[in-house]
Amino acid sequence: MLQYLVKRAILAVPTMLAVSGLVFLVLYLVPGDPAAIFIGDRPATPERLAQIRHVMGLDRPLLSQYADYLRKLGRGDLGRSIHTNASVHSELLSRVGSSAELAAAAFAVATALGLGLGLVSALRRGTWVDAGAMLVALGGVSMPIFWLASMLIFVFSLKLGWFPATGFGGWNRLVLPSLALGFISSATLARLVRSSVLDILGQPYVTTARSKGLREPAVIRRHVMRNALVSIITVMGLQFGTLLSGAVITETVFARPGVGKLLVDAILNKDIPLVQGAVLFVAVVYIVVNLLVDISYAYLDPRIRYQ
Amino acid sequence: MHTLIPASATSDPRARLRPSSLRSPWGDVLVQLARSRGAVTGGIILAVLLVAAVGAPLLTPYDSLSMRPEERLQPPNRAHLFGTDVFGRDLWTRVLYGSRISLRTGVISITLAVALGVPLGLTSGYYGGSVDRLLMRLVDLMLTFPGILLALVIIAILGPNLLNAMLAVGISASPTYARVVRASVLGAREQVYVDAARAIGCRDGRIMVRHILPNTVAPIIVLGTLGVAGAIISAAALSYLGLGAQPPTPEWGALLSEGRNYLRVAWWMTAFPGLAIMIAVLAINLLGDGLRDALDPRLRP
Amino acid sequence: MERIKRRELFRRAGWGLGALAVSQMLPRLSMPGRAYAQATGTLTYGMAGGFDTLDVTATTFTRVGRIGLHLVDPLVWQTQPGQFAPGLATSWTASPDATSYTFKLRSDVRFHDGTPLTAEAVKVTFDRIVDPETKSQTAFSFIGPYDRTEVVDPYTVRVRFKSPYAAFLDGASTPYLGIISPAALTKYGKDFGPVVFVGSGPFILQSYHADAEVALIRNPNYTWASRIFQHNGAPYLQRLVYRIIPEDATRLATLETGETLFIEDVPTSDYRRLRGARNFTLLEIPQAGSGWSMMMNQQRPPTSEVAVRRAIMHGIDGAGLAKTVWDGVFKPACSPLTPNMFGFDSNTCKATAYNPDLAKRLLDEAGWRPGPDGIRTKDGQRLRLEFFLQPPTKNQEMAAFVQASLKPIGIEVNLNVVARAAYLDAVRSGRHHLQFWWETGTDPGGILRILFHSSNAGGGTNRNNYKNQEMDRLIDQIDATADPQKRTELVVRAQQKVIDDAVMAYLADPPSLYAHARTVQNVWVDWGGNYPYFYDTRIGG
Repeated sequence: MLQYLVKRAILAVPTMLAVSGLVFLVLYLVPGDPAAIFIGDRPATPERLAQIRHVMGLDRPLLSQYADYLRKLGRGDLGRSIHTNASVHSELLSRVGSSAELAAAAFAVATALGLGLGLVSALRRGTWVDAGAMLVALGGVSMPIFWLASMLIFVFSLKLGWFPATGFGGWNRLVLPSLALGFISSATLARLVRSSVLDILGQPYVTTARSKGLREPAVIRRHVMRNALVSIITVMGLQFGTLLSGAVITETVFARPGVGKLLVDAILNKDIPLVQGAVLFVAVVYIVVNLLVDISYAYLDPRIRYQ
Repeated sequence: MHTLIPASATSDPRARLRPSSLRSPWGDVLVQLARSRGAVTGGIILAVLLVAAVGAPLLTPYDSLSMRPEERLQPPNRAHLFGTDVFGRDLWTRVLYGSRISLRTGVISITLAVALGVPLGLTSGYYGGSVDRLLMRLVDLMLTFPGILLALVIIAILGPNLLNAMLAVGISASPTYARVVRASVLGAREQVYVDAARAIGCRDGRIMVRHILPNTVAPIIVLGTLGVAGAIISAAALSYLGLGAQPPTPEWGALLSEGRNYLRVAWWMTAFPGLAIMIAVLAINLLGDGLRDALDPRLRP
Repeated sequence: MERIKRRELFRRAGWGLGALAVSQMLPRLSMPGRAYAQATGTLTYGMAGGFDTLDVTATTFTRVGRIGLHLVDPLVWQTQPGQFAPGLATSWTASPDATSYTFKLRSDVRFHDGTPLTAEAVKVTFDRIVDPETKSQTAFSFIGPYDRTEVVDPYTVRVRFKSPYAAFLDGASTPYLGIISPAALTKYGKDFGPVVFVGSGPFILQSYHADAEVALIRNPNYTWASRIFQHNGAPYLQRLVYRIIPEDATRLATLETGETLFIEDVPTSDYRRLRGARNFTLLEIPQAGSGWSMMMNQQRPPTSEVAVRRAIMHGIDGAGLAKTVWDGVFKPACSPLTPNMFGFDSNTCKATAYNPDLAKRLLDEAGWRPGPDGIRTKDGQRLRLEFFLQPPTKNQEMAAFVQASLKPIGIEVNLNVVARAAYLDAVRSGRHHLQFWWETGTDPGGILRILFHSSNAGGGTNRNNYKNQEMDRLIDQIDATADPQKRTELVVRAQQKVIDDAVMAYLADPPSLYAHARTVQNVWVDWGGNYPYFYDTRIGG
């Protein structure tokens, strides 16, 4: 297993380098001088602009800039944001906590709701319970999250005063954003759970288990869920990545700092070191989540073993 | 690789064995579809929306763009069914005209995603080997980023407008299609009829289009229908962030964005466009679900 | 390479998990009862957006000035347009030609790190502002034609300029030229600003979480308040917390739920609703500067024609715009200067009045004839203007109004809403006909220079690309004239000149809109409306 992990980690390196190189190139191809963007609507003489460009290290050849970046990266130095002067490391770190907190809570909401709704509707297939659960799930995929978020604030913060509308730190600030985000992503999961479970319920081994006289809860737990989990976990893994870095809109409405928002702002500012850092972070999250998903397969399905 | 639709839809054993259209499989599907209450409901709602979109000028006496400041911020009343916005524009008219834009945006985005994803998946799956590895690496790179983030990145680079929003949503959705098509192709590639076609000297292009592509049609239709729903939401989200359709375009997300500053003084400015998005997306999803059930024999009763 | 890379990868992966764990252990900030009630003595401020750095001497954001004014002390305070009161400086003199200023400093001031304030600190602060490495923005423009600072004795300092600079006291009264601790600069290096900030103000930086909040705690040793304030000694508030809440609706909601006690940028749409509310106080202070206006590119036909520009100036219904887009809370604008500015000329309101008939006549006389669709043409050229703007909703609402206003007089406006990079690229290279401008500041000379001086044309801030020797001379004279009477005359002449030349169209004068809970008492705001100051503030009730 350890060997497998090491191999996967090594394989990730070229991916990361490709991502970083691609991002670097794209950012340079896009029009717009980072120094001019930095100056924005402030008065600056051409000499001043040239000075700023020099301070930002933009007056050197492209390749030498990139080589320099990689060299620093090798030492674990992600550089400094050209806008804030803060180290990219600390810029990221100050957002990861909030993003991770939200992602974890929303993930819990999504999993509980998704598994619950999906399982119930599969087991009560064709009844009004099934229809009701799927309608709720459909509502989730059909609702624009910013709308749901605004409504939640209106009802639970303004009218009822149960939870604060904004910020982070403390469970009570986490409730509304994680509900909004979790509900929306539970929908996909619920639909998947339903179809996977239905799929497995039709398999011969389920019939066998039932005919052995195994009680229904045990059938569901041991045979149905265990087999359905492989595909469910795959989707949940992808969802977690999305929740962690793709919650830009939820973060905007609830005024939470986050990695997604950081990346979008950095791109708009053409803050190349910061974009690089944030992109690497997103890529690492994706790689790690995929790895965890793969490892979990081995536990769920004894036939899968990693060498 | 599992996708958001059940793996079964991509490996339909009957579809795989069907060489080409010997008999119409679509008649079957339609019968199935007509039996599904959800699909029928979704289909009817969607039809109503489409009729409303096409017939918009007949359904309202107002223009969607002309401003009447003296009638600004009126709550829903007999003259203005959905009320009016800050510029005194009739919201019912804006939502009605918005349906043209939003529905079109969804369809165009997904058409683009399919147009990008299908050839990619087809080539990758058919040739295999290093072509496959290279293309799938590219797809992997794109999948590294959550869809909405990728779309935001593309917009940030291209600039905010409706066309770029469609491009961004389309591009960021395309990897999924590439993957699904590839999976279907891998199944179909080894079939006897493909070998036969190859033996009688068919060119690769012809084999791909005539013999392999039909196998991918079912999953693409299902995924595409559901995708249109998602694309409408994504495009609305981009507009909401000010990065999609620009005023005065009455795209639904842009309407919501215009209304969000007036949430407390003019609830109707957000409520009706929000409901419109929800109803349209719900209808498309119901239809998509019905299609999936109909095209996926294993889920048939 | 690969090994280190992998270690980096794991380290960074570890962060995520670590952060997850940490975030679960974060202190429970909640209070019993209503889950988010305020601790007594803490004022939470809802801020409308994030910013770049906490370093007031480097930032480009007014918001940083709002926070920073509590962390630093300015050399002087500006009580009325052109009236100054002691701050860190007890007295000052300017040379007759306005090229050098001498300040006597207080001797009892200590920075938050315990080091004393001396003339050397003033020198270090100012020298650092002009150092390109600092990448200073607002402070750099306020320090003007800075030459050098001389330490006369430990508590006397002389600031010299390369050319006359009558507006220096105005600059020195802003938070951006506040004095920072040289010892802390040496100690923290590049982290000074993004991570820490050390001044001598009534509050001390407690914590800074980018994009989320800045917490200040009171400076118990503060005994050097300016005499313009009601008390001396430590501030009454225990803590001052700035929370960043960009969504208007959300920010407003936090005031109503009690999560914040004070918010900035109250949306004009909610302004009326709140005006009647019993629990809130609204602060409406006319913002000094030049308000919202529209620049017209003179280097690009057809806005190179004065008739076209004048038609646009008279063709936009300012009152309608203020009413429709800004709910009647903003006032229609007349001049490049807001009415509260030093030297504002009220005659400009007649000279720039809305008059669509005049606009049409001007275009007719200039040979622009209406085409079949109502849009005018001349020599086969269509009267179509490219308007470049950035996404914020309010920009778009204003642009939509301008577009609708100009259509009936036969001018077609095409809106190009583009992201920041593309926007700056377009307007700097002069591909635009029209673009918005908004400027706040308290010195008329500085504002006029930004808008109209030829040294700022061709890619700078003068995106009118207006180049006029007489105008340049007027602005240079304003900068060199300290005498109020003469200065007023010059400022009035400059306003008349730019209206004669139809350089810009003036749209709306915004007030600064703040709202706070009624329990918050004694908030001081500068006359320019930009800096709410909580030194004397108490939370009562």
